[in-house]
Amino acid sequence: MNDPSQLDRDFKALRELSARDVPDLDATIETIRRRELESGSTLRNFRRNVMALFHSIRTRPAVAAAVFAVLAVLIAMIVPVSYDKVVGQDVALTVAGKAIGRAEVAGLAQGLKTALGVKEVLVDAFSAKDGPRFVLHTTLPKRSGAEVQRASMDFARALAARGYAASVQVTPHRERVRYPAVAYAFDQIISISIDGKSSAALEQEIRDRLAQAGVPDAQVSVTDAPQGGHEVKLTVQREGNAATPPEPLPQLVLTKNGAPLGGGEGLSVKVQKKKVDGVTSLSVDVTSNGKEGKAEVSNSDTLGDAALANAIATQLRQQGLNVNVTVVGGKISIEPVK
Amino acid sequence: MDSRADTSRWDRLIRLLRPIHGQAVATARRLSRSAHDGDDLYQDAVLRAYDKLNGLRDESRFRSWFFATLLSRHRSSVRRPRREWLPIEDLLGRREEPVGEDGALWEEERRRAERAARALAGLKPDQREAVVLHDIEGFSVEEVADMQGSTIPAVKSRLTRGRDRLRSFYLRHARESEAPRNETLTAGTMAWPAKERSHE
Repeated sequence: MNDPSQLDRDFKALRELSARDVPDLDATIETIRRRELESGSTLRNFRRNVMALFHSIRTRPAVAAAVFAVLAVLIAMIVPVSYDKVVGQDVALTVAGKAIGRAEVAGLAQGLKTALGVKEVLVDAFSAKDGPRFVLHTTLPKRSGAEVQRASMDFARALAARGYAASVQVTPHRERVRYPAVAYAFDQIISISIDGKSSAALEQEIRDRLAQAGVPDAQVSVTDAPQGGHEVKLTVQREGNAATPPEPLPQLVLTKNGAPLGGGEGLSVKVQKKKVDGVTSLSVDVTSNGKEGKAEVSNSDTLGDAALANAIATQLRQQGLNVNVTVVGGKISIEPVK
Repeated sequence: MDSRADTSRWDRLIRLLRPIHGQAVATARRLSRSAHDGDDLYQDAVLRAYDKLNGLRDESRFRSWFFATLLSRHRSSVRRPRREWLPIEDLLGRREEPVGEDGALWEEERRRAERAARALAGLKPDQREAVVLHDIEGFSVEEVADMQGSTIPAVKSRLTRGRDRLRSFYLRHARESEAPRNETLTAGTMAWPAKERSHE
């Protein structure tokens, strides 16, 4: 019963039986068309349109790219993400001195309110051997850290002139927000126009915008390049560990006449030093003459200046960037080869 | 009402379908559990082919293109719950079985076809397609790979596994035949039209 030919014979029978009484093609088509007309359904037309759309997408890559781009934007505009956003500036003014009493503190708080234009000031009092110390806290909704820093410093200097020991600290005030992904993307990109700006003004603006974005400690240097344009140096240090990695930094985009610079206007160097679980790694992003390059050196702390310079220069040259790299006391300097 | 473009598209489809119509209907039936299901599957494939016809540039590839559509509809029909279709017999009227053959021989043929269809029904859809197209229809492995949108090794693997399962089915069937027989056919697995015996 299970001889191999049995299957062949059964297949032969199936082949012959299934080929019998095949309905006429014209009659079949007529049935299909009649059924389609009878159902005439919107669903059928909808399916057909969807099929046509899929077909267009498959046969026209440009259309597909455009459709997916639109979908991605729509999704980014709808889908919310949670992230920390700098929504203002926290000011902590510390005032110390033996002769400070309740009335003086009230006066200082009122003065701070007036100077910064805020409605509320919280005061923490600490007692110490050398006298009481008061910390006046307030939060400004302004995102410009430089402006708040200036106003706070002016107030602290005025207090110092009146004999108080005063110091001020301004830090970005972050809050967990939930906005669409597109808003997050915009918050992560700092776009600065260089049109008509001097190096000093540009440097100040970069520093200010980075502070607004929660990076108040960036070392920024903008100088005039000998061949024209600007030379931008940006150094940010962040520490983290495996559990809490360093916070991602916003991306700085310089624009000229509304278009992002490709590096042809000068040399852009971004140095990131990451220390995770005690291991320091250095990341150097360079844009020069339209070319971009990145050098990454792990365990950079264990290298001497010359070895570090060599490691960076080698990687950048391999990527087609003709630059000179010098390191003095750990400070990296990169210049285009003239 | 159909527009002129629709009519022209139907005309084109009919022209292309005519040479392969018989084979495609038979294949659809062989892939299905019954002739009725096979005809439904074929109608579904024709309708889908009509929707996609404007995308067919090279008409010399129509046969493999249409069979690929048929296989796509076959897999969809396996996945989705059964729908109600208008049986083609409703339009044509019930067909009479041919007469004049030896009734016993025909009954044997029907029994064999039922058994083959039942064995095929136990395969996975992609294995069933590979076996039907290659072993019954006679398509080459390359052609089957083209129709299934797959690779040649994948088709070979499906054929090997499918044949293994068929072999197991026949071994099991042989054991059941040797044992005292209660009921060997599972209700609902087969629906090939029974033929009234010829009285000649």
